[in-house]
Amino acid sequence: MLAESQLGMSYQDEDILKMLNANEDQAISVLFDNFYEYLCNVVYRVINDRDYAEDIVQEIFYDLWRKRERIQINISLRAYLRRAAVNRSLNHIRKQRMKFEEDEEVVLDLKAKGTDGQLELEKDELETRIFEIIESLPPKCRIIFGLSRFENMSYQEIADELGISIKTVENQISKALKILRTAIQPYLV
Amino acid sequence: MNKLRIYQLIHRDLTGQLNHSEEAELDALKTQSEYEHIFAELTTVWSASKNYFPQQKFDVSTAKAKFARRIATDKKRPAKTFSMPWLLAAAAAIVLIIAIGIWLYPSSSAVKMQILEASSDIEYAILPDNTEIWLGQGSMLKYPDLTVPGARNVSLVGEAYFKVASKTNAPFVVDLGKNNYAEVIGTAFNVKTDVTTGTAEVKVNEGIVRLYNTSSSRMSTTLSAGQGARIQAGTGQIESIPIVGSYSFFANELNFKNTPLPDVFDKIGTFFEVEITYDRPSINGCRVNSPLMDDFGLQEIFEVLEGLYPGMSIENTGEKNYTVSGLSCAE
Repeated sequence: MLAESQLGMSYQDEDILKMLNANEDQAISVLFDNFYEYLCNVVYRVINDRDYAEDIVQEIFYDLWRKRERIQINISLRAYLRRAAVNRSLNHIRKQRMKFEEDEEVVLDLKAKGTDGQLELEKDELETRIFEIIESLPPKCRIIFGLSRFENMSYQEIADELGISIKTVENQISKALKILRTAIQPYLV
Repeated sequence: MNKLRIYQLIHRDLTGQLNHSEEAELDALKTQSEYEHIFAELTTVWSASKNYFPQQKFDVSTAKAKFARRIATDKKRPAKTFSMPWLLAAAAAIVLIIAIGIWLYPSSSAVKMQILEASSDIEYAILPDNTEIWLGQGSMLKYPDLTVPGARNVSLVGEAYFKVASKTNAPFVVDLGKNNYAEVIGTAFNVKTDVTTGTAEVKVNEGIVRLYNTSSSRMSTTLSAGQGARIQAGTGQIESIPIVGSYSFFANELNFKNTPLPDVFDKIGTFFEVEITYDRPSINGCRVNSPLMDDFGLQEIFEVLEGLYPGMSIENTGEKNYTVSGLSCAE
């Protein structure tokens, strides 16, 4: 039998929470249909690892399921789950005990692609190029840049979350900006 | 000028983190034509990167099946109420928790009161209005029918951590004894009463709590998240108190707020029923601010702490014994 969301029906947060509170099996199915891929990508944007992303989202849903009969959420379910995904990603990074102070090798294809002299890009193309470069930033550099850019975290917050110095945060963000700027320079005429 | 410094200043500017001297430094640089293109390009990079979101595909059906297998074995577990082991016997020993008051319902003695007691364990319960409570060992809560409209008046004897379900126009009032009360709309806070001194302490984790006294002094104060206060019996005098450590030992929350590392080890040791040996003077200067770790296992928490303090080692030295070494942060 198809889940209702697969049949084209959409659920409001309130409906999903009511189903969870009522311990209805359908609730988890609806959560997966509505949020699984989104949350995996939220985690992936932070830690860039598909397997860990799926593990972390499983844990988030499991936690929700454990608290199903008493869970009360006062913000949108999407925002709540997104916050949980980011927090768990940060926990994962801490547990990995990455050494953010160490230099990483930068192996990036910084050449302009298929431009043949026409280097000026439309806005969408420029974004696409920047997205490609973000995805290929060195892992630690990418994590710190992402926390600043996409999670709007301050230097102090990033340093506190990862247990590193503000100086290290600054250096990694500057490094990311330098790489990104270098990559798009051929297009900026 | 070091180019990385320029990147740092521009990034701080783009994220609103410039201080006054950096602002002046950046303004001076902006007047130099050689740096103009860097400002422009970094602004472009920053703006264009805003909408980045991966477009990875994940197999939802397989994930659902995996999840279903996992919960299949858990389904029989009740989710409504459960007891937790006594988490901090040491703290209990120094906190004399004795009954100091019984709520007298204002209009009628016919109101049927429910009683929740915690004898040997901390009791967790969800009240009929969906308020969550962790009731400390030896404590008692009396509450009326909380589903009817109007104020939700409960009385506490001892110590409890409340996560009050938000209900507009239905304040949740805790009688602290001696004409002292804590009133909230929707929040999380810890209450501790002490009959020997007649005082009550309130520490607010979320939301707002109004602490007041109905005797002639009519003292009152409003506490926000992160604030705590002690109210005296009789006079209703109120003084602020610092929140050190977590808000409550009851709420199964292994999160720490500026907590001395030795206290963190003590709490973890009690929580997991293991013995953690450390040299208090040498690590007393370390303070821990951690995320919520109540889902973590012992090893995971140790890994987090070792990550926070490079050089520190926590070794398993017996069946339930651990030894901390390699760290020095004396006060």
